[in-house]
Amino acid sequence: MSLVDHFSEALKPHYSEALTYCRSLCARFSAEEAEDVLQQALLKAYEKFNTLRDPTRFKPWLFQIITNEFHSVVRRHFWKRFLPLEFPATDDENLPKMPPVYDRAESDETKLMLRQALSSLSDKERAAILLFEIAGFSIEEIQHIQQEKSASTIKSRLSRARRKMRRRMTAQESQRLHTTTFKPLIGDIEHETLQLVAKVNIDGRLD
Amino acid sequence: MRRFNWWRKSTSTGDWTDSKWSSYWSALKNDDHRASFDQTDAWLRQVSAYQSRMNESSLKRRTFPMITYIKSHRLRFASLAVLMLMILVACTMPVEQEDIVGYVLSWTVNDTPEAANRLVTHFDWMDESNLSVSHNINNGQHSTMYLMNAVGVSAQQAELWRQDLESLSQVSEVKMLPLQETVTRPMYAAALKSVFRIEINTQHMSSSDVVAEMQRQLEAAGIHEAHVEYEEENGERRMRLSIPPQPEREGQQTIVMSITDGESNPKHGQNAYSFSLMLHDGDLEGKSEAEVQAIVAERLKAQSLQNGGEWTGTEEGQAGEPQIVVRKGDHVQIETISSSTGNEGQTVHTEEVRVFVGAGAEDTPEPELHITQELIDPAELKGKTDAEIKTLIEQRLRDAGQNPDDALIEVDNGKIKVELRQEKIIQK
Repeated sequence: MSLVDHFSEALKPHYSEALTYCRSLCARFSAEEAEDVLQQALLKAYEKFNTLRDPTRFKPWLFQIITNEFHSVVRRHFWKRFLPLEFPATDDENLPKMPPVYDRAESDETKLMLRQALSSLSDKERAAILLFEIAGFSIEEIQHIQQEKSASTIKSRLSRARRKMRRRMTAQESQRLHTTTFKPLIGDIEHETLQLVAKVNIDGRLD
Repeated sequence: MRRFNWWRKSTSTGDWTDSKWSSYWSALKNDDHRASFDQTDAWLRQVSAYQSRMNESSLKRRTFPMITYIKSHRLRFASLAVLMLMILVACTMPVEQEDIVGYVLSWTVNDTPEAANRLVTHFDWMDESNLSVSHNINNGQHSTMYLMNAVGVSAQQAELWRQDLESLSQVSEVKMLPLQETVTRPMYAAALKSVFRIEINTQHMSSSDVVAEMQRQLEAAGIHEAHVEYEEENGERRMRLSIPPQPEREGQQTIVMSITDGESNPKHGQNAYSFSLMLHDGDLEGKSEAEVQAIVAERLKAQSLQNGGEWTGTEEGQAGEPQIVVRKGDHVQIETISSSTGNEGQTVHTEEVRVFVGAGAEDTPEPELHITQELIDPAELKGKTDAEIKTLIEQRLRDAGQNPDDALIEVDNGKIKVELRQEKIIQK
């Protein structure tokens, strides 16, 4: 078996999760940009596959590469605002382009709401909660992937991310209720109760 | 289980139950991308094939980008290396410079040695330790020839001494000869030495003050009779400097002038002066560095090398103390530095003396000085052969206290020339 066979075999079980993780991580990016991140991450993983000593550690290793590649793309975007440099053509640009893997038009409302909530998080918070929820990594594994010194950093990061998402998603739910086509009747107990619940969820208090 | 407990605790607030939270994430987790795996797998294989097509040189280029970069710009790097080498050689290549290190005054007193001695000691500037005396008797007439080695004396001072001597009626044949030495220096040091710098801050200075300051700096640097014009018209300033030929500063033609307006730090000018002093080889045998320093200090003191003819002393830490900067066996280079503060503390003149001792002085050839003197009246030579004349001259030299072996005696068909090599003038 060649190297590409080995790599393909190792990638296959985690392929779907890796793509979902990458797309959610790039929640603020377009599908094309998310595909660029994924392509670079897969290329790096393939080129460095020989250096992976323990094949059982393939999944955290792959997700770490995706995370690092995402951070490097974010950094590149940041510096491009100040240094709009034209880089000379490299050999990598002649590499075959990865085929499209993400839907260009997402229609699922729940996914859209979740991605919007994710985009309100910081990059590290988003990576932490996605690694926890989608990839199913433990706190220790996330600590290793995010190269943090203590597990409590990851715990507080996850807690903060969850709180932010909950607030954002509650607000989105409330907004959705307001914009619904349902026309409330005066004295409609159910409607008034829903409004009250939404208000409490948003403000945390009842006037 | 540990993960579950921690998560349950952090999600048990508000109306966000575990199930609601999970339902949101399930929507995302249920995304199935497996259908695109085959495409991705095919793409990976294309990448693999592409990379294997890359030749070894391009792989090397990726692995050693710096080596590749240097190779691709080898002409540029080679020319840079050659340029650096040329600069290095230009800075370190030794060049020879002629330095006037002082003057030799010679005069003759047509009188007995005692009377001549009285006459000479009349001048307070006369330094007997630097004086070489040869007494001659010609047809019963006494004449005493003096040679004074005035190292470190300016041309102006030597000229004044010459005029002093000429004012005496008993003194004849007063001559003033420059004492030149060929000094070997690195090229950069030679270039630095050939630059004379004038720096003036004109803030709060009138035109006449600027002219006076410039003339003062020129005089201090040994440039005499310079003509300076300074004009100000409609806010424009113009300065004209004309310097007559300076035989004393032959070979030092570059003058750098810096005149600044406004606030600036006090400027420091440097007037470096160096010469070589020969010592006997035996002077250094078995001597420690401190002892060598003491010997050099004594020699320098004897020759009054410092500004104004005053040696500043040899005590530790005092300015002017000779410092051995190079010593390899008996090759010694000694440097002394004495500083004197100039006008209003703005200008510092530094005097630097380098002493080469023993074999280290090979690069600084001993100055040759030949003094010719008639010892015999031509009337005495009538009827004598060349050999007899030579014998007579040797006898006369012995009478005058000279060693005939130190003299060059040439007698050719009655034409006579006698030269006394005055080696001790330099090796004193």
